[in-house]
Amino acid sequence: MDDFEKELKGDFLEESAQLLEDCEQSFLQLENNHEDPEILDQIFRLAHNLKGSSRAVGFGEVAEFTHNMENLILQLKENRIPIVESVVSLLLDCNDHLSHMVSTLTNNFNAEFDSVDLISRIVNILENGVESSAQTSLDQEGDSEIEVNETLEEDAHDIFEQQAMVHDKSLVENTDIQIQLDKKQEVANDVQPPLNESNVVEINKVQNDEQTAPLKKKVSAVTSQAKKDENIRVSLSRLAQLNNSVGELVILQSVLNQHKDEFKSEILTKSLGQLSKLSKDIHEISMSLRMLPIKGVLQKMQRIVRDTSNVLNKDIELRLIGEETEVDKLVLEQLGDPLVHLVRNAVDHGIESNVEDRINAGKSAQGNIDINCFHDGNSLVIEVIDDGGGIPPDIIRKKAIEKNIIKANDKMSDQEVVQLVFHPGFSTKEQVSEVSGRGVGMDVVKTNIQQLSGDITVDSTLGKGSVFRIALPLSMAVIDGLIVEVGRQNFVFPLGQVHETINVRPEMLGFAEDLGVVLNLRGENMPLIKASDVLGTEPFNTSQSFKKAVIVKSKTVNYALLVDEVVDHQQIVVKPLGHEINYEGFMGSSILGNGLPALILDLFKAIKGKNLKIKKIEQVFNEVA
Amino acid sequence: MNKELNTDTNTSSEERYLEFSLGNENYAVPLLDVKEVIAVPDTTPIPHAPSHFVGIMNLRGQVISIVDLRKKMKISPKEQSEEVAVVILEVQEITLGVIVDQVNRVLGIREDQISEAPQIEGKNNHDYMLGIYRGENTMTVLMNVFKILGIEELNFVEKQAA
Repeated sequence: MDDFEKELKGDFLEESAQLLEDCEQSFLQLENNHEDPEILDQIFRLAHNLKGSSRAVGFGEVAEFTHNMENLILQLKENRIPIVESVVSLLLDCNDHLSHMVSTLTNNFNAEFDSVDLISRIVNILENGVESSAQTSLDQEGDSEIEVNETLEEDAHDIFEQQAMVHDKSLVENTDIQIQLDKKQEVANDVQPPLNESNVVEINKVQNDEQTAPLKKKVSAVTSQAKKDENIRVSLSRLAQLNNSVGELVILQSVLNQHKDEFKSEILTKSLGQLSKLSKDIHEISMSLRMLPIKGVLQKMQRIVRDTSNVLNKDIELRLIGEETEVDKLVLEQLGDPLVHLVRNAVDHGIESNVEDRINAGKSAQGNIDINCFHDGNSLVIEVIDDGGGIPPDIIRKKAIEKNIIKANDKMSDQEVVQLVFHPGFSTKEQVSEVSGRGVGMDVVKTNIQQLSGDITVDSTLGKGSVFRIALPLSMAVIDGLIVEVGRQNFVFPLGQVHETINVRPEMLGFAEDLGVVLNLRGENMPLIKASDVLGTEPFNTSQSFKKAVIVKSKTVNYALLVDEVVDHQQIVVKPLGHEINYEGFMGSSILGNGLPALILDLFKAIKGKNLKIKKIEQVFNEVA
Repeated sequence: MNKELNTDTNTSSEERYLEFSLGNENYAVPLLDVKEVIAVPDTTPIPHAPSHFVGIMNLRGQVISIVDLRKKMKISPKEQSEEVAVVILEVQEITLGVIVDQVNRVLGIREDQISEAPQIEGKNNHDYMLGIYRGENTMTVLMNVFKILGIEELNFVEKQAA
């Protein structure tokens, strides 16, 4: 196979994966909204595209399979077959099969597939209509799997029976039936029993070509209309290049801005102003290129809820709120797995198994799961909310003690106990279930989220339900930063870690030998630490009568950090530091307006394991001894 | 300041190395690992880093570390140092700048011209030496800069995966 062909096939598979995702969404919509002809139009278009392009690049099996699917969709479109759950399920199964084909073909262009079963299900519905399909699909399975060596007579007999059914249902026009009859008899008289795939396909082709001919124009018209909001694929590495260059541009721009007083000519000053605005626009656009709406990931959850609740025989509605919330592509890619876990968990463990429990608790019979996404400052928050039974703290406590996760006499609040669901190897379901697995779920979720520098917590009210809350940085690439000066050098503090900045005055300070200098801020005491001690930089004496301090507050640390000056607050493009610098107090680096790189300090980690107390109050204001 | 480099004529079996001076000694690194040679840039010092880490610099938007091998190897710098330059090395996605007293030349060296570094009693820390090349009156140590700095490429890969 030459490179061109390989590339062609690769491109096709990549595109198909996207098409199939779109398809799945449409199928799910279809189930809830039978009337909307646009959905069917769209599905038909997607299937048609897939058929055409798979044939063009030489994936015959895919083309053949989609062709069958297309036939079914066509019947749905023409209202010959009602849209009921079994049909949607079949379509979803077909979709899964196609996805499987596409992903297998990605690894091996010559892979072969067994599509007989699905095709016979399609054909069955096409011929017999929906109601009888359950029964006959069993028959057909028998035909193809067990009684492979049936005699001609029996086969023919079957076929006549089926024909009779077709007549009864009158689902197919007479001419079609005639064609089918003829073809089937050919099949029956053929030397190769039983009905084999290719023959069936043949039948449908004849049937289909007649019907699609007038449709083709319509379809192509619709397709060209849809092209208006077309996208273009760009590799991430190119985007990274662009972002780098734009970062440079912005830095150069700020250097120019700093020196604009030196421009004597009016036209230069004016142009600089315009250029400045332009640079800012370009910067914003380039940053936004990596941001995608979270929709893509959330919509997959529809399918998860549908399938999982079917298996468990629960009636659950999933609502998506804030689908358009944007997030960095890299973050988005990592979100799928943890969300699937959470959603499955909500369906399996969250919503009550017994409907009467719900009704007795004054809730609707139908379970509700909401996924709510929004921006909170510089974070993306995703909440998975179920209105089920909630997580019972006493059961968790008991299990945790049994599994030696906590000790019987550990004092923990209910809230703390509930967080134990994220502990490795914790599963409260008595039996391992098909749906939620073996208790490896939640701790994996937590690890995944932490790898994205995020956090996950759970709030649960017994009888009311649970809220799993994921908070993630919006982007790994840009943060809000506070630029501070320490020892004549600029450092960046992530604004998310800074609680506030204050002016330290002598009357706010106290001292105790064991604590060092303590700052009293509105009644709260916290250790005061010099940034120059944290960073090991030379002390630098300012003549000011007060000092600036940055207050750092989190669950684990609470301190005030003395800095020489707070310079600026701006959006910071985070650049990774090389592996050779392994001090964990640094989060990364950034290039500032002066063109020099500055280190970004992780304020939560920078003071870890260090004894940095200031030994005399005088040292706060008189740094040079 | 990008230097023009004179290349020796090469035959097919030759490997090419960039030779530079640290103090009065000659060292060389595989030319394929050299991304570029620049003048000594402004750098930002790195707290808590070993003293041979000079700082980080902005190389057209990329932040990279600059190391002074002379400090690491305890070699006194040349007294007159107008030719001081930074060699930017790139190996498996690690980019690093190395300060050198002078960039000398590109050497084309055949494998049979490389001899092993001598074993010295009680010293086992010169793994970084790939070999020794002897010219007419000169000796050049062929080196792996990442090894001398103790940067394990394997670790780097693990970090990427995490």
